[in-house]
Amino acid sequence: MSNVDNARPMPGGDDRDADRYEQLVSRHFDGLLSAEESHELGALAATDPARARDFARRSMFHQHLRATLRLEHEYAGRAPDAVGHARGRWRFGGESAGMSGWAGRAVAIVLAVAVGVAGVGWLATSSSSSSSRSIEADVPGAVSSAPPFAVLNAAVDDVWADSNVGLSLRHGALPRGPIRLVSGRVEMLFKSGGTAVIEGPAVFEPIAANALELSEGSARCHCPSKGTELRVVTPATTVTDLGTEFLVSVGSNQQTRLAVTEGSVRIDGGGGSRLVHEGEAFVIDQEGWKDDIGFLKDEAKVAKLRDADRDIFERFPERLADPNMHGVGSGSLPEMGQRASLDPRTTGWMASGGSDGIVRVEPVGGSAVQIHSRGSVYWPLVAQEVVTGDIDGQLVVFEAVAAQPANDLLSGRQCAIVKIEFIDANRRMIGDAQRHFLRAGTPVNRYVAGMIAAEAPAGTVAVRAFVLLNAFGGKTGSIIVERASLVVASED
Amino acid sequence: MLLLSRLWSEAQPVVAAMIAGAVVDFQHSEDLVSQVAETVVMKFDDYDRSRPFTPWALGIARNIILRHYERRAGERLVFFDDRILSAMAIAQEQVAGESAERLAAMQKCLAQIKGKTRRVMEMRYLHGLKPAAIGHSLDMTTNAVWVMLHRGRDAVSKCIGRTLMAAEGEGTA
Repeated sequence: MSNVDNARPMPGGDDRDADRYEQLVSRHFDGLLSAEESHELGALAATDPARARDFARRSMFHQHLRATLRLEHEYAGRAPDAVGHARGRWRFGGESAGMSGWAGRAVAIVLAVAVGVAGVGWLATSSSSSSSRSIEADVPGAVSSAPPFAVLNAAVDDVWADSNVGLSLRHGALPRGPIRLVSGRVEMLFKSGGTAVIEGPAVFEPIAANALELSEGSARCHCPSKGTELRVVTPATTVTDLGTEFLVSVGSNQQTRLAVTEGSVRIDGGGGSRLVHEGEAFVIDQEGWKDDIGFLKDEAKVAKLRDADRDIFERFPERLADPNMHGVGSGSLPEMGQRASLDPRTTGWMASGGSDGIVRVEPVGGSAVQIHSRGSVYWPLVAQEVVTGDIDGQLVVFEAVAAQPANDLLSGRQCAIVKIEFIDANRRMIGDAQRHFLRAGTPVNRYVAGMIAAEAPAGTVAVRAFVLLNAFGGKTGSIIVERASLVVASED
Repeated sequence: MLLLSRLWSEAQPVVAAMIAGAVVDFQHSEDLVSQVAETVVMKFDDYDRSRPFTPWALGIARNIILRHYERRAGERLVFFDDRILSAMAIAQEQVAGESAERLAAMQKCLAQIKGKTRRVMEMRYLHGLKPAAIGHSLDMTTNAVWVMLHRGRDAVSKCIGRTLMAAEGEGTA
């Protein structure tokens, strides 16, 4: 299929069928065929395997064309929902203490989805610098697209109806319109400082810097301090968080269930307004409010995120080779796929994905790795793989300490990401977890910790630990990784 | 659920492409992909893990496309029957592995499309407008819009071919 939209004879079948197929298929994807012509086209394709594959390639081509244009649209910052604001006013509450346990989809895998490849997460993060230049042309200077008013903060086992939505969110963008989370959990961070952990299946849409519309599914909302506010708009009511934590759920009958676990909230709807306090729960519909204490009792197991308890790891050694980066020396780290260690239990530190291919190690006041954006539209990274043996069900915690340097600030949607991947005996990635931290606008030259914790799925024999930069095509912007550790909790 | 997440991530582009071929209205096709995703999650316990996942998901997609046709039987829709959809599902699975380099090249090649052709392609693919609506907006005939789309896609496709050939040459040098 050298030219998917170019009329040419197809191998196999007679010339008349081939000509007719070309006539029809070239108009099919623009919706210019009648139902009868479509059926004729289908019959021509289905009766010849070569033609069927040609049709499949054309379908993929059109799907990619749409996905690529959408992606470029996001990069160019032309999305109407991208709310501009000055760097420095963007606050992300609690990011330096990102301690919640998460397992989620990986940036690399989402990229693999975007390019239609299965199982190449390890390689995908380092792919195609040529494509980055084509997109960069639309991005003048540093990252032009300011963060939207809500961003993805973390994810656990998230499955999106449209994987392009997941890709956009992982790039720090906010797709327009309602977002359908098929399963899993995601944490959205709002510009107001509030967070919402949304449990799939759910349909939701961040509609303002302090407002989430929830059409279906459950969300646990948290405002870390007074002065932050988060409203949740459901079909039956509006719940306003007043510096507290509550759970809200919308069923298929559009009934809203609300449980307050801390502080108080105000609800408007169901025939009036009232305050709801800690320990209270209601169901709200068009007929009004009713007590729903059962929901409060059940909520503890819904969308509950547990911070990793650091004390339980004290007895266990750091598993990474050279966690303090003393041995990285100067110059370049080995490329991904090459071993940097003779120790069979670990690959040592490797790097990939910068616009110039390899992440440079530069003198930054001691042993550290500096990950540069340099126009990459992907996620340049440092990583190492550690052989763990069977750790089924054990909690794995990866923590990296990083800073943004004053002379090469993060901007726009750029951020750091910590991520772990679980590998089975067949070298397949069977699970992963990630958390975003260290965003543009946070203090410079100050090291902060990004941590993820996730249970190893059955079959895990190795763990890959990554620190990535969501570069977002910026010519500038870098992070300095000063140390990292990977620990596995005891079974007892 | 991690396994489901992983498997669906691999299958989703293939499923989306198959649906894009069978239902050319972007809005409808995206709704159908969502329906497939939901069904995959609901029926995941029925999935035989000793067998490949993507064909199983494509089978669900085929059924959902057929139901979509049935629901909208009175409208002027693209129509493929079960036999055709089954053949397309097989073909889609066969070509799934070819697309990675093509997509990377597409990003580069699309950047070379400028001016009115680019605008028309954005109206078609980004905003989902049909050629008639694009023509109305740009004061062009539907056929003229189609010709412009056709030439734009052809240029992208040829560029992808050249790019991949050049890459192969570099790889063997």
